[in-house]
Amino acid sequence: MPPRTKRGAKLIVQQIVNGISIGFVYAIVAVGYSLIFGVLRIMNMAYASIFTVGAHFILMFITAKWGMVPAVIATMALTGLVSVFFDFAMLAPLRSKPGGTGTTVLITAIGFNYVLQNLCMVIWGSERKSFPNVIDFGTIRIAGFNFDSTQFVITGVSIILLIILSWIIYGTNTGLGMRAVQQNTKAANLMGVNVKRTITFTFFLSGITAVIAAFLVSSYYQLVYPTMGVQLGSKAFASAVLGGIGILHGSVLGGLIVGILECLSVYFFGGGYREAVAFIILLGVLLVKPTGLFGKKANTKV
Amino acid sequence: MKLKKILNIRISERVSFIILLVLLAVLISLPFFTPGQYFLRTATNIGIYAILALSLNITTGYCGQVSMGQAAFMAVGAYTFAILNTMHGVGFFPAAFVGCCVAGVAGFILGMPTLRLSGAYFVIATTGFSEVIKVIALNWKSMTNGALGIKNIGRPIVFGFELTNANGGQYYIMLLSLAAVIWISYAIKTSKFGRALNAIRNDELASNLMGVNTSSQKVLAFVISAMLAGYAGVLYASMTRYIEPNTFTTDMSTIILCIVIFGGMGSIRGMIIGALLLISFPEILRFMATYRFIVYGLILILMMRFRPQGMLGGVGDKPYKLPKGVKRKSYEQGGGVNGVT
Amino acid sequence: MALLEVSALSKNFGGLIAVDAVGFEVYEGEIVSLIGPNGAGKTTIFNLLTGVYKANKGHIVFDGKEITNKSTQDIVKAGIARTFQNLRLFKDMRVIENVLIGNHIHTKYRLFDLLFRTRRFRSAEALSAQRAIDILESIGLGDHIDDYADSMPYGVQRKLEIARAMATDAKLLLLDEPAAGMNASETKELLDFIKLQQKNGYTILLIEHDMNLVMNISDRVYVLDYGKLIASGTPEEIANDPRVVEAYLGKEEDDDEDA
Repeated sequence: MPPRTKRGAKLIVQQIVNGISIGFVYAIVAVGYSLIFGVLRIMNMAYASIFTVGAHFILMFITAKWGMVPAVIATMALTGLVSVFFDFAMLAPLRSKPGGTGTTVLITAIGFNYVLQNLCMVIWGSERKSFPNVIDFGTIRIAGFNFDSTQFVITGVSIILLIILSWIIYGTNTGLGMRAVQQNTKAANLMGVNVKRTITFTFFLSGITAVIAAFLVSSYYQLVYPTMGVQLGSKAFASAVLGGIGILHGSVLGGLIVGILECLSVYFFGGGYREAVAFIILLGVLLVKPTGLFGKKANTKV
Repeated sequence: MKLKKILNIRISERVSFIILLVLLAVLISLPFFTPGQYFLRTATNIGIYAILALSLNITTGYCGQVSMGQAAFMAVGAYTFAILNTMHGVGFFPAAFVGCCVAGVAGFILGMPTLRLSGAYFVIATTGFSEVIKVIALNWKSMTNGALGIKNIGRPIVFGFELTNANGGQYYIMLLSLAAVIWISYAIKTSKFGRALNAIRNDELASNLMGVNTSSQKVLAFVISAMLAGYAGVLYASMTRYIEPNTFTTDMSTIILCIVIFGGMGSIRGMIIGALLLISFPEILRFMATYRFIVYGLILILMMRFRPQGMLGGVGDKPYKLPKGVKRKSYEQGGGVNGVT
Repeated sequence: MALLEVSALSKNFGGLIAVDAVGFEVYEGEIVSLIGPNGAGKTTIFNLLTGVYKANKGHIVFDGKEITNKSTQDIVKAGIARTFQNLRLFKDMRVIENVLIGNHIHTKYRLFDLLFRTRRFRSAEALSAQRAIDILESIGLGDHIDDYADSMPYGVQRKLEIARAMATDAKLLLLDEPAAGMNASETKELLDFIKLQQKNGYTILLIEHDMNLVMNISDRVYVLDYGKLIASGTPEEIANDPRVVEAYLGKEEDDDEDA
């Protein structure tokens, strides 16, 4: 997805600002991945399509003349359900099977991702559809720079979302349960944490997060199409891995770094190779320290 | 599913040999009784996907590493071939060879750092790699012509005779290629390399502790996989005569994975039958054509849930064939050499 | 000179000292047991010996060569092979294929050979298969070579794992709790089996909790507690050593965690 517009002289700062706002979007999606990884130790390969479905649902409601706010709220509920359904119908049955290896879960998630994405295509068509930008309040001038108000809103909403998520995870009992399951599922179970309900809640939460990200991205680029999740998913993955997957503040930092580096690369190398930046970062992280910036090395027990 | 029943019956060796001969005869004579070029094209397409499935089978089926990178390696092979062929006048066979090698190098570059990581990271890396290849194809305009793509890709010329789809030549090239790839798959499977890959899939740590250099075996498998996919890309480019950055999509990688899973990881027959069924069904069941991608995704989900070994996995998985001259004591039939009853 | 000489071997994980300046020898042809309460560091030592963990301090000399911190492949090639506490057979593979993997490093041919089925391929495969058959027949599995590894009874699986290690042509076998989960008769069979391998020329270092087995089979015993060597000697000597008794009795047997 290309950058929207180019400003005048102070391009680098401008690109950093661009990078921060898109970085926050990557951060939100990366957090979505981290939530699931934290609780289930799996990479949710279906997340990109959940994001896409969210965007399409919002557009569907808007087209049916709903207001943006009710549309987003309804979509959050629906998409949360889709996310929960994914776990309930696809992943949970594999958990109870003996020897449910990582490969089985991985392939199931790839399959579900594909199904969802193509359902979007079949139901709503594969062409790019325009999406209204309701968070555009014009250009804001600060210290001689022109800023897009959309970016401000994106940054603001992201920060608020992250604060809320942090509060849920670190400030509530449910969040405590999530962290307990993350550390040691068996022990959490024995301590009275309802593991199933915690997992379901985590999926619902990650679904909601996807919807917010979908709203922000669709507003910014004013486009919705079935493969929109693919690139975003890859970049958010790279962000999560960079920060240390499963670690919330890692995902946030990772997203920002990827976003900023990506936009800076546009300035230095032109727009064409932008998509490769996230991958190069990913490859670099996997080469040097696969557990990411904040991750800890696990020791294999023989 | 009647088909499933048929595939499950243990057919006696002689009967299966006869079936094989008949099949071979049909395959070889196909161009002579096909109703029009379209049919032959589809058959060639199926064959190419069978080759792709066999290529992925080495990494995913034998070694258990799920990869979504086959389309990317196709692209590398195809583009290398096309560039050499159309812009530098290199003939089909040498250009195809170079295409394979470059795809192999790409496989090495991607595989070396990423194969030592766990499965999920590896899948992500291969998916990302696909995106990068597409970006390079789009932007390296001087080499690849960017979004315009490369047209008029040449076809194989054997002794001055051009092999096209119309004269059945491309079909035969595909058939020969498929035979070669089947042999390669079989040769690997029944060697220490194949056993090592299988062991790695079962328990990598234990394999390491038995002296297997798991990293180098995984990388080698991946490189071979990439080279075969690159070759399939060459065949594909030669068949369609035009490629552009969006020709080799993630959809293709997903379909190839679907064939491998459906056919049964590790089963050579499964790859071929899987390709036949999964590529032809949108042609036969026309009404399903728009939904075919959903079907592919559903197959992945359902297979993992209900039959992870695939349709043909586990059936007729032949026991180890004892090499000639190996002596055994007190086997039931009195010192027999080959263990199969 | 000892076949295996370990000196001042130390390993810590962050702040936790798992192995603390441990030193011991194993002479060729011996059966030596490594015992101690759970969590004492025994399996960690095996992991250090086989290159799974890197030692923080100390030296491991095998067959006259320094193998400290060498790669696992090099160590296996040098002649050390092991079995695992929790049985790590290749479940989806047949009995004979499991053993053939053990012989992998000695089956010498290249990709070219297997693709074109050269003479080198055929003779290497035949050699390897013969070795595998011989080993399997010697442990009584000659009629089960085509069975899947996980379809065998538990005691047989344990022996199969040892057979797989033997196929690496190792001089030293590291057996990690080979009698775990076995009943009395299976343990007796195992005891005879290990003694037989000693006669066949293998040197064996084993970790065990089954004191009966340890007392009956070992030439010498080393006792570990909290990562330190606290006693060594013949089975009779350490059975009467008060420090050993205290280490075992003063501890709660915790069956979940291990060395």
